[in-house]
Amino acid sequence: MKKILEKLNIKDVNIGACSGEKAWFEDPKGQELISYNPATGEPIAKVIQATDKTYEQVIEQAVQGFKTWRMTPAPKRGLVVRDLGEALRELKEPLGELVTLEMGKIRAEGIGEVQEMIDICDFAVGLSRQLYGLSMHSERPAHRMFEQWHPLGAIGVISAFNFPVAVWSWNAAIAVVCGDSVVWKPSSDTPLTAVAVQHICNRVMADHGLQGIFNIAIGRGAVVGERMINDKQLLLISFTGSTQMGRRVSEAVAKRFGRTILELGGNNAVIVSEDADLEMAVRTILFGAVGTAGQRCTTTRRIIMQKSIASELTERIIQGYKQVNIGNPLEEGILMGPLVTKAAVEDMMAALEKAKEQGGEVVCGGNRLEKLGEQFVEPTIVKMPAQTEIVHNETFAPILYLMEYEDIEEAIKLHNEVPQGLSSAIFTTNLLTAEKFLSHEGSDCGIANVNIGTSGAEIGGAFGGEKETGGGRESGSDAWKAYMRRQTNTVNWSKELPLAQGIKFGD
Amino acid sequence: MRIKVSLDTPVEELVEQFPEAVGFLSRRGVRCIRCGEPLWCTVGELLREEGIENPQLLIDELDEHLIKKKEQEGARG
Repeated sequence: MKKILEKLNIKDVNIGACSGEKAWFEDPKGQELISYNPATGEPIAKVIQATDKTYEQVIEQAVQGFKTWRMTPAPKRGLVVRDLGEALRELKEPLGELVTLEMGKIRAEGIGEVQEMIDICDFAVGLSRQLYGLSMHSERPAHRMFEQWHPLGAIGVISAFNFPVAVWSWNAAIAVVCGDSVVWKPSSDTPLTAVAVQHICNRVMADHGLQGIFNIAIGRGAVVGERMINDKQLLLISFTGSTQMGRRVSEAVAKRFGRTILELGGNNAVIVSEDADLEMAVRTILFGAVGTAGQRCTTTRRIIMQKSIASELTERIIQGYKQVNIGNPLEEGILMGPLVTKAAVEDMMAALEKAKEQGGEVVCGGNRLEKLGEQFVEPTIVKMPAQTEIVHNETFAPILYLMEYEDIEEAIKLHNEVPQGLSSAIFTTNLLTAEKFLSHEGSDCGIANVNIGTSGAEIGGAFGGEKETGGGRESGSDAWKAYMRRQTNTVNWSKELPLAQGIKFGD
Repeated sequence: MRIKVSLDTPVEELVEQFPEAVGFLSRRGVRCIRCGEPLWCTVGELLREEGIENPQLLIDELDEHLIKKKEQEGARG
């Protein structure tokens, strides 16, 4: 552990407010936050949280930083992000291991998360030369009409523990090539990965003589989070978290006419039809439901399976679950680590009790694994007689609900019945069924896949969901537009003054 | 022994200091953590949002529950 921390510049006590290599902000009033290893319960290191004073210092730097950064040509901004990507390549392993150490996902997933950061940096470099606006034919003679995309301002990113660095990078890499500065509040469960990333950013920015572009303000939601969402100087808040918190964020930001990108809860289902390749479906379900110990926004939480194959599929999934090695996520061969906190274990157990009360039958797992540590649990499969209230709720844990259907119409109805709308999948070899699922009368989610699971999105597509998932889109495709302001321009190059719609005024 | 959870306690603090409170409240229809993260409000705000009729009574019950838990842990040594 010590080696990982040393490579990433993590000290025993770290400062949680920073805007650059020479801009770490300390306040004796700052409270300590201890980061624990969820696998062992041991403390890793401490962070001094931002106070009102240091938060203000960070914001001032971010606002100032934006003023110079916006005037840097976008392709040059891209070069800075290219260097960030290179720096991340150098530190991919230790940073990935710190992710594992701090939040408990297995090492391969931790390193995969850093790869995702590198991928989005690469994407952003290309994007820096493609921030295109349209040109339109004006209805007025000798007029030119077009649109430009300008940098937006200082923006806020509030991220969650489950992807402690990737989600930040989806936002930050894109926002920074768009000319914005970024203030990041990471989860209080994963402050050290944020400090490590800030060190990397500081090094890159110092090489370019810059500061105030990448900033952190670590602190509780009720303190730093509330400051951010009510801060007029942050023109956009990108929030990843629950629907309940998203509602609070949305209301606060809307009150000040700010913008939001909301990435909220998911309740993702895989429909498995009788003509599906079951071998492929089982492998996908296993990764989707057990990966990251069921703590991804895109975790597979519901299986909607055709009656004719339900018994066989259930048995095969159970067999798959029995092969899952659970243990210290840094160790080779482990497929599932601990849950992030003791509270998460409590939440899972309470949800299982409710599922049983509502007619659910636990067909696999369902227990704590105290021999491994207080935060280890068995991945659990619950057969439900119907899609009851508990199934409509997202429990951030490895609980998989199984339900049955007769025909595709019923499957889609069940699928779309939940309030969330993030990710979805169908396993079928029937083209008509697949197309129906992807059509307007099919899945109502932001992500809909065929013969591939609900989790493990690539950075190239826009990531996000509908309904109570919040409607935000980040990462690839044209998600960049949320980080810029659109300006429509008309230039008259004639010596006349024609009005639109042919209006005559005072002639 | 008195555990001092009050209506003004931030949920983030409650979850960190007394994780077992999460299960207790969840069984009574009040969820402190969502998507694995604690809500930013106070316990009182959360209980009001969830439509709990007598929040103070529930807090007292929670206190009792936490005290019993502590005593059990103490007895186990």
